[in-house]
Amino acid sequence: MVLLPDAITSFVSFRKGSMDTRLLKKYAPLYVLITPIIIYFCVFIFYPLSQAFYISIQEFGLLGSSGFVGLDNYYTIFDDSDFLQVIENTIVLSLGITFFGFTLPIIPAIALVEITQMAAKRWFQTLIYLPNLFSWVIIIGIWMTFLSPAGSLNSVLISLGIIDAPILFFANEDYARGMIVFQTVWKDIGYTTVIYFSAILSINTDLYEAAEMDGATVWQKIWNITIPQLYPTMKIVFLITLLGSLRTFDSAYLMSNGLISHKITTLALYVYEQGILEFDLGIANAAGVILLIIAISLALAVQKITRNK
Amino acid sequence: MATLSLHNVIKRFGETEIIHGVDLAINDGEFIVFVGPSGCGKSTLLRLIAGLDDTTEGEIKIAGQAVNDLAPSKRGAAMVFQSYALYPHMNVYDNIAFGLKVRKHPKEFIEERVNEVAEILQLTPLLNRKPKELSGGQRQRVAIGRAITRQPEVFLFDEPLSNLDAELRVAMRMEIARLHEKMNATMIYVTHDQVEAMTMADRIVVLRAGQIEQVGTPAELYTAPENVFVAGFIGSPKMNFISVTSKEFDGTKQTFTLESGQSIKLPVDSPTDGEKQFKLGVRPEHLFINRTGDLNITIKATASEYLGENTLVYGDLNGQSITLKVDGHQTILPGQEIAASAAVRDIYLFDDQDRSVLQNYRRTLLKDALSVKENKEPATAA
Amino acid sequence: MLNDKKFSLYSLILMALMSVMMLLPLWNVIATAFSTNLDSMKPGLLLWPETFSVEGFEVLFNRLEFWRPFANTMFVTVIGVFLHVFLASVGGYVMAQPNLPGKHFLTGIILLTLTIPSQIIMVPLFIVFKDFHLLNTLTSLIVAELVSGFSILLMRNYFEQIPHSLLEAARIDGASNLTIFFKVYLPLTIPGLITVGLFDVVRKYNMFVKPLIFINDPEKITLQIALKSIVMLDNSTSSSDIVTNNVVAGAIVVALVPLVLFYPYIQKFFIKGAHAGAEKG
Repeated sequence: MVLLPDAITSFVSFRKGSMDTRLLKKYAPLYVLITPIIIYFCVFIFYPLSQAFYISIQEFGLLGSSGFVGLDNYYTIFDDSDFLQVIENTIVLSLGITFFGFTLPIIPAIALVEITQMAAKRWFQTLIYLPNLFSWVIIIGIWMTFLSPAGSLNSVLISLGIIDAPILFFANEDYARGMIVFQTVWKDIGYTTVIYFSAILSINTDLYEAAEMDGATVWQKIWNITIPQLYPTMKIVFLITLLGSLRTFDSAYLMSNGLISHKITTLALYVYEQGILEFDLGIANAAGVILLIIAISLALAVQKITRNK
Repeated sequence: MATLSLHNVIKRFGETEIIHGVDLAINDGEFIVFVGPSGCGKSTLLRLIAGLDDTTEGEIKIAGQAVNDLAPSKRGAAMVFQSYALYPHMNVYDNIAFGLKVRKHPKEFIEERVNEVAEILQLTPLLNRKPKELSGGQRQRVAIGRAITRQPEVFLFDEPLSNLDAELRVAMRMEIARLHEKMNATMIYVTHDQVEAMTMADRIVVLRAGQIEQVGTPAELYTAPENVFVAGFIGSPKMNFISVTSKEFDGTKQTFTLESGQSIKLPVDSPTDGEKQFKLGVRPEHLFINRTGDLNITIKATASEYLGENTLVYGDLNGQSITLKVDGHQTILPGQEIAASAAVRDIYLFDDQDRSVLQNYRRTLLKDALSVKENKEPATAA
Repeated sequence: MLNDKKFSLYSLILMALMSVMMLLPLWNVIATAFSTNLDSMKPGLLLWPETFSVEGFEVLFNRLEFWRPFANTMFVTVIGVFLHVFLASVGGYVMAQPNLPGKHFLTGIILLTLTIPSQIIMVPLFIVFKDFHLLNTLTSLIVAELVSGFSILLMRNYFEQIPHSLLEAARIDGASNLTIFFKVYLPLTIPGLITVGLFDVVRKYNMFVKPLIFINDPEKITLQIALKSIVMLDNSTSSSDIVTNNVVAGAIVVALVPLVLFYPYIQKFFIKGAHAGAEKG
């Protein structure tokens, strides 16, 4: 979604260019090579996308369409308090994941740069990057084991006398959203740290030396050089994290249970539940289209705001 | 091996015209150098001949056959790139053999040919090396080797020596010249370095802003440049230009006066009526100090550069900057007044359109010089 | 850069703490996996098995037939990644051609595919797969991510780093498009092929939503789905009373093994990719 404006520019500049039959002939073998790929995209992405729009304005049952209903499906879901809750969940989770996901990794990135022991530096990088490769099933599995009522953390907290009864991390609606944000940040922090880390490394060291000559303290250097120099990277990370968080599905799906699912059902999960489980295709696709609209408008808005700065 | 001709060749990139209708005929076995400042279109012209870019209008013929619509590989041209463009993952042998392999020549034939080429270019001990294990000069030779193996009709060189250091450049210059002699092939060589152009070319094509300014032998360009641009471009340091005004014509010669009031009579191609502005040109190496001649000027030195054998003196003549090339141990201080002079045969003259108006006279000088040379040569040989 | 010894020391401590945070739950799972059924269920801090045991793994492989989804995932990953890398490099090669007429149009199409979140087309895609009779087949999982705009663009970037003059030299040498592709471009972009391949290995190995939607047949479920059933104690996997904590942990450990084996390469190429991503903006 980050790329939508670029896609538009590409189409526009294409129209400006001219086609020359002699060139067409010369490049014919290349078109032959790319055609199957374009057909693939049409069949498995663009056709389903057009279907999503189409179905969202149809009354759709198990046997297929039973007629055009205009925006009825949209009215239906906006009247549904469950759906409004879903919107709230999506927004709260997105904000949480985006805020922590794009600010926290700055700290380890700065720390990593300052570590002088090369071996330690490599090991830390390796360790914090590792969870990024794990699937959500593995992530949730690991934390459910560690945080289960009889698990290591609860046992330690009880034996230290900090709590009396085990905390039900995965079955308490007050913790549900926090758990998703926490685990998402835990999974992604290594990746984002590496991006910030390499951005910091590319800052001109003369700036730090000039600040050193001016008598700046460590904190002043971080605040006045590192952070401002990181702005362009932070913008990109912010956008990627925000758009990724809007698609939150796996974590919410896996953590859902009767006690907490009303707090964490996201739009993406709602589309799945309505479309695949309930087979209410009209409603599911209307929700999908709303997700697409939210995502695209946010992407455009963020790009516009950051570009003006 | 082959003649090559361009007829009204035009190249446009989108709306911008880069080459404005170039006509050129190149003889069989000739060594042609395209020279000109950067952006003059010399590389583009070479790429049009190679077929790497499509010609917008006009016709290119190699060995009498129009090649406009032929793929680069079908034109019988081989090219040596500025960056050498060696395949990094292939060793020297495979780099040289690649063009033959894709043409499906038999293995024995390829081996024989590659070895032969390697021998000529002294690459035999390097055949198993990868490009990154070679020095700049060696890479250059591999690039040339790759061009030779295919025995093309025409060789195209795109600034092939610009990535080499000065010493190597001289050596490779000689090597390419020797190769040309040995293979007697048609070669087109692009450079911005006028020393390369002067030393290697049979004929030089001087280009500016997508147009040919002059085509001629190195001696022609030096002795009888057709316009101010060529006069200024060939020769180093650059030719000095002094503005003069035309006066009376005596039937054979016209008188011109400098701002200082001094006058000089020159054998112009055709007389000019009235007082008009002209540019008088004289090369730094033809201005002698402490001597009187046909043209006498007094300049005020502003700076000097000691080069060992020579000293370059920069000075000022009524607001026009003048460069002198004097003997190395002359000491000249800034502010010093210097009298310098030149003979009529070292004087060039251009009209307000920058065209040479002493062309007949200068061509005679060129012819005399050549005949003297010819007369001399048998004598030295004997 | 900041050149301050004290700060460097604090950094070291901070990173050490953070590494513990990353490692501790993982270590806990490994210790659990190698405990006995009984030990794994006992409350308490578990960082080393009281009695070293592979009981959990025995249940996993003998009674839950965990090897089957593992084999399914391997099949999808090996074939899928091979096809994916091949198609991405073909697409990238075409997109890397300078002056290709219509290139902007093609770029537009590819960027557009990246713009669409997969969840939006999930339901219609399900119908498409149904119409193609691909539901409940492993082929569906290969087809679902046969090629991606992301991989094509990544390969294009690698191809574009090859100097243009090399392509021209090959043209003058008389090489055809296919020869240039196989003999010049592919050998020069091996790091790119590996990067795209590794990205796709991880993506295919972790694929979750698509098998969840497309596959019902227990014979054909993939690793992540089987793992989900065990971790979530789904009733679908026989009797849940045999799934003790060490079995859950064992399943996680088994699923981690291929990732850990690949990790040194993944790290080398991914981190480079992340760096490149940061620079590209």
